[in-house]
Amino acid sequence: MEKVFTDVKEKFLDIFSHTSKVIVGQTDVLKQIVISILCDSNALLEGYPGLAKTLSVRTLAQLMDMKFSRIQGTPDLMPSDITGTYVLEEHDGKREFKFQPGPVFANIVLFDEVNRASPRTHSAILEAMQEKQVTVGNKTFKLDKPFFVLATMNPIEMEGTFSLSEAQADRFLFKIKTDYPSPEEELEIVNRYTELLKDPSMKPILTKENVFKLQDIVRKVPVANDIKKMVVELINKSRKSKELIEYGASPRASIGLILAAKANALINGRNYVTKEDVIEMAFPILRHRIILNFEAERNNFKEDDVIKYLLK
Amino acid sequence: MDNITDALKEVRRSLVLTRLFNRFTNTVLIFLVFALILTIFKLSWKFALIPPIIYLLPGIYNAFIKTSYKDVEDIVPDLEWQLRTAADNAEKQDEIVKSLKNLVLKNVKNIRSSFFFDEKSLVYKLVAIGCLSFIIVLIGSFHVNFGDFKGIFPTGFVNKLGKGAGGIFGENFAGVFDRKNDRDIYGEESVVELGNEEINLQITPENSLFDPSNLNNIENYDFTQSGVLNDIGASPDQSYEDRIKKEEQELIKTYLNKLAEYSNKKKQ
Repeated sequence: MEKVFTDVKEKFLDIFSHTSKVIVGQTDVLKQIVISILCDSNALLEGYPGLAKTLSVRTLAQLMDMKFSRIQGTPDLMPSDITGTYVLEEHDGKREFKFQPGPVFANIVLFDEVNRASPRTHSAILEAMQEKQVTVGNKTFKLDKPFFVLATMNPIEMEGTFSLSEAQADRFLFKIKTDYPSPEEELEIVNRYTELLKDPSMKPILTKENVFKLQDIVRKVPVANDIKKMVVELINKSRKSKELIEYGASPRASIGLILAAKANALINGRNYVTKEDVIEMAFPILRHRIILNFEAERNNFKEDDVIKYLLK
Repeated sequence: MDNITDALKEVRRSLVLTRLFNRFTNTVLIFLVFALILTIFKLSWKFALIPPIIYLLPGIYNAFIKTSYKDVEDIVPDLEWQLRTAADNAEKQDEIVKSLKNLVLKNVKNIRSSFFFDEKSLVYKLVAIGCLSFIIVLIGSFHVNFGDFKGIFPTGFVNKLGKGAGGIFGENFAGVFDRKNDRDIYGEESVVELGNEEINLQITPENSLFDPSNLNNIENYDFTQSGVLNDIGASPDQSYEDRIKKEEQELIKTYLNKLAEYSNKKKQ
């Protein structure tokens, strides 16, 4: 079994080295997306346009041998556009309704600019995320497993958008932040994409079965009681630090943080969780779960600054 | 489960014993420092027992109660979080926990007792203990002091303070370096300095109770008049009274009296 952990580490190193052939930088983003998949959860991705969000997810889907689909959020996007709908078909002179599955019937769904979609569409995708099923008419359809939604949000151009409520945002395990590449990385991007005509093709490194197995292993990674206490204290502190935080994180954050720390340990080839795993995962876990108060905003503190303060 | 539990207990026990040893070493050191100070100021060394006891008791409590696997992990960073995780999940039997237990058992085997000792500090402490002991012995033997501080304490307290003053080793080792006692072995120091020179000694008659020059007719000298032997007397032996019956005692007395009378008559 010890060899399994070493193999897992090597597999993920292999995955990251393959993604680096397509995507320059963004290592943390890719790692956090992988951790979300291993935790059988979903993630929010906040970043400016043109930061290879779609390319990252599509590449990971190829490497994990998963079906990938993309939904573009618009104000007129209807739930049936993503879940699918019944269409009238004629066979041998007989007309009948047949269910036409929507883009949500995939393993990895990239929901671009989720905050541009209407609240009705939000509730449809949230049902899919939470229940791993969709209801069309009076019929419920189970989604394929594994199922992972990566919803992106653009931090600019907020006019005409429907922000996710706190309760809706809480259902995403991570809020991953993407930033602009460094000048060196950008130079590499320019060199690579002005010379190549198309992206290099990727051969799968993991299968769906491997992903199921890894999701099972993640939940079995043992955690010390001190780590659990540390996590619970951190989440409680987020609720009590009224000097900076108006609303703190829910117990879902505690569960998510432990789970994410376990997955982080696994992809690092460890069969135990360390404090560093918790610290590393605390940022994407808490970022969308804390609401800063006026005093913090007046001082121009960002969520990450407050999380650093909580971790002290 | 038993293997890992035993291994974890063993590691913890090693650390507890090391901590106790360190604490005892420090305690001895503190005791000696205070004993030295008290000896110098001519106060009882027994009071030097108080600070080390105050220092030792929390140390024993901490060593036994508060020593945790985290303390072992702090000393052996390679085991960080492994011991605690294995200990907290000791009852679980799935493959992943088993793999962790195997890893911990493998790593625990590499732990040596020397990991827990700071050899340099231990050597310093032992040297300090040796030096302090020697200094205290010397000070006790030579009765070195910087003044009698018993006066600053209440009178009732003084007896206790003063009792045993002179150092913890002072009483037992006083003879080792005490030059006054050297006279028993080497004689008077001033005489030793004379070397082989001949000395004429004269006993002055004024200091004696009787004049030796008047001892010509010693048989007639009445010692009872000198006053020297007034306290010397005879009393019947207890065994004489105990063993001989009363009537027989009378008979023996009569016999002896008559024998004396006969002897006197014969002299006359």
